[in-house]
Amino acid sequence: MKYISLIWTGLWRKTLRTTFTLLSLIMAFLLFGLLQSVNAGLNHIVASAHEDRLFTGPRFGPVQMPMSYVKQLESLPGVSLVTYQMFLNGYVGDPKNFFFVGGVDENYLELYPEIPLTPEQRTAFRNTPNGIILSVSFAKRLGLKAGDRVPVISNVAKSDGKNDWAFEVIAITDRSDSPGSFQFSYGSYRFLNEQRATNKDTVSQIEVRVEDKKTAAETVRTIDAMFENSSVSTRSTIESVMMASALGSLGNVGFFVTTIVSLVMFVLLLLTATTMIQSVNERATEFGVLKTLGFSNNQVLSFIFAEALVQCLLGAAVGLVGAQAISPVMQGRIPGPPVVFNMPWWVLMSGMALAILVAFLSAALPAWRIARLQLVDALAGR
Amino acid sequence: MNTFSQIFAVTAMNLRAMKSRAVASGIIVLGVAVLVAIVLSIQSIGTGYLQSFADYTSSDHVIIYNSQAMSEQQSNISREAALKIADLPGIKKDLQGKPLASMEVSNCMAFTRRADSLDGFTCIRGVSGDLAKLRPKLKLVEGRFFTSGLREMVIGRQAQRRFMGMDLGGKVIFPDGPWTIVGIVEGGGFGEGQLFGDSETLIAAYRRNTFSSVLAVLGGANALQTVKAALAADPTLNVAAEDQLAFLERTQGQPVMFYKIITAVLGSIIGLGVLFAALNMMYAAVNSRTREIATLRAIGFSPGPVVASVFAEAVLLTLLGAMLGIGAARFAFHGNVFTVGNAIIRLSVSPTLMLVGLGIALFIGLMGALFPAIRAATLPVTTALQIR
Repeated sequence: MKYISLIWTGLWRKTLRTTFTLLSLIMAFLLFGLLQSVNAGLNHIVASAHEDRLFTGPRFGPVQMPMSYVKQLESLPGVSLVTYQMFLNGYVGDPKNFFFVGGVDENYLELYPEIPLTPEQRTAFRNTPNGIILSVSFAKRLGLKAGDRVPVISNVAKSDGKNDWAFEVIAITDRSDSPGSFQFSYGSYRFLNEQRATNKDTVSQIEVRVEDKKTAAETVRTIDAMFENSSVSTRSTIESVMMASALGSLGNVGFFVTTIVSLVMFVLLLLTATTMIQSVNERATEFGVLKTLGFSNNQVLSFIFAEALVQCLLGAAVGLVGAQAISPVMQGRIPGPPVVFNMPWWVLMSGMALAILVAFLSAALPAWRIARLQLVDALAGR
Repeated sequence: MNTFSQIFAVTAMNLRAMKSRAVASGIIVLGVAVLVAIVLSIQSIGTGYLQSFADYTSSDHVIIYNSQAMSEQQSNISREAALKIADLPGIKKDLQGKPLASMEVSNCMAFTRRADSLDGFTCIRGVSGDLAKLRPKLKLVEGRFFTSGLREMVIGRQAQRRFMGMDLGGKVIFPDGPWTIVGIVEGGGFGEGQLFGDSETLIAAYRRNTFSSVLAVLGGANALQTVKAALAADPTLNVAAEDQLAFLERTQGQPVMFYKIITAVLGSIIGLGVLFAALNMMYAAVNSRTREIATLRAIGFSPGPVVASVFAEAVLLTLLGAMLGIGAARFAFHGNVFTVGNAIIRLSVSPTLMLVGLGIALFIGLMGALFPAIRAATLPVTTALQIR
């Protein structure tokens, strides 16, 4: 520890070189942190998806299912909760500002304990026919806050023949398991169903909770078999399977991330190794002097390794902290799956471990040279 | 010696001496190659996606859809309206005097993927009459086209590769029972991932009485304006007309922006990292030539050629890196099949994209050389010559 100032001075011998190397290191670890966070976020979606929640939708495209399906599912053995949604799509102001409301029944939020509401918000939602509950990212995208009135142009016509709807924002809340990631907007089924001109008493999606997740796959088959020959046949899926299938269509993100990170880290390793070699070679005489003064070979070597380590850890720390700071900015701004941009601790740890590895590899060659250095040659500057 | 021969002499001398800086030069080349390869391969998704729209559409095709709908699937057009639309002025007629228009229905649904047995989505499109009439880019490679009025369909090659049971002679279950796959088409970009059938038979199967859109061939000068004016004159229709490609880009183009953002974020982070590395290496190059540069200056060379030689070295190295990166991206990714949302596309490392790669490399080369070149030009000759 008493040699720390010696190491620090050695590191900053050439200010410009060290600055640029550090900046390269910071960029590489910033990339590492961001990419690994996205990857972790995608894995989190699958991991946090429930295996006891099922979704039933029409098998052949966007048609509506009769309300009677809900009653039929309630009587299925092993089913503990059945609820439903009707979808209303539209836009606010400009067609670019996509808007939707899922008209839900009063028991809908029982299926989603991860969406917290205060008792006051619950009461207000129940008592306001055109009230809606938005997720943070949905509200942020459209610049809405609680109490706002939202005029919506929709493809669902009202009974007066017009397509303009008006909603009132009751509360802005979020999924506690994946804050900032999901876009949702819920309104009252009863209100939407009363107001719409056509398709009355139909639903777009039925959601089911089974008592035992082991029976989920069986229940999916039972439901689809029940309606196979009905007016609208269904296709059901388990939440966790649905998420896995959505991510599957993204391609192999893990492989993609690993390839990019390894390529960049390889270039970085070459860069730090080269600058270490330059730096140590220039100071060969000084290391010779240290050895002459009585520093052991191991001590001199540890100075070289320590210098590389300080540089790499500093770069990694700044880069990873930077990634952590940037992540919330990306939240909700990048379209695609509902990823939580949050760096898990193991990304931080593996980033630091990687920094140590780069440090040791890049210091190995110059250290080897110094270890074999003949004092006479070193002092003569050869 | 004039300036040009000075530049030439100094640059040639510099390049001959680059051997001694092989590792440092290699880092610049490799860094730029990695940067360009990564940027191009991610952006090839967005470019390929847009290209698949262009490969599917024709510049003289117009789509007419419900003006409230945000996608074709949400659009509804009644039979009476569709017939009226097909007869509008501005729409081309065939030799028999019948309008070149197709009443279409588009519906997306889940099928089981071959790869992981999970759900994947694709769209089935109903067209009226002959599939080849309005989609000449789809080439029949196996079987035959479907027959109107029968439960038959033609599928794209990529849909066949992607979904279980989708082979020639296979059955696809629809609301009115199984439909037989009678043909396989290739080409046609976006269309190669879809299924095609007869629209009248399809809407009967869906038990709906509306189409989604009308696709028509424009005829004559300013035909799109003519169609739009005719539509505006009949407010009962409540539909809008748009160029087929523009409509696809507007309603399905979101992933393009997504990949642009990803490319920009990753590209700027890696780009900055490579730029700092290049600066580092170019400063080292100038430092290692300190005495040489000072000597040149002392015997009467002006700073210009020295500066030029530094730029030449950096640009040469970065361009070499760009070639490697472009080559790698083009060789490894161009033409590969890739899924974007519900669409199956081919990655495209297009000539424009390759130029972007060159531009990025050139930018890094010039920026990386700028400050080291200034250092070389302003080197105090007397002190530089004293450095051992």
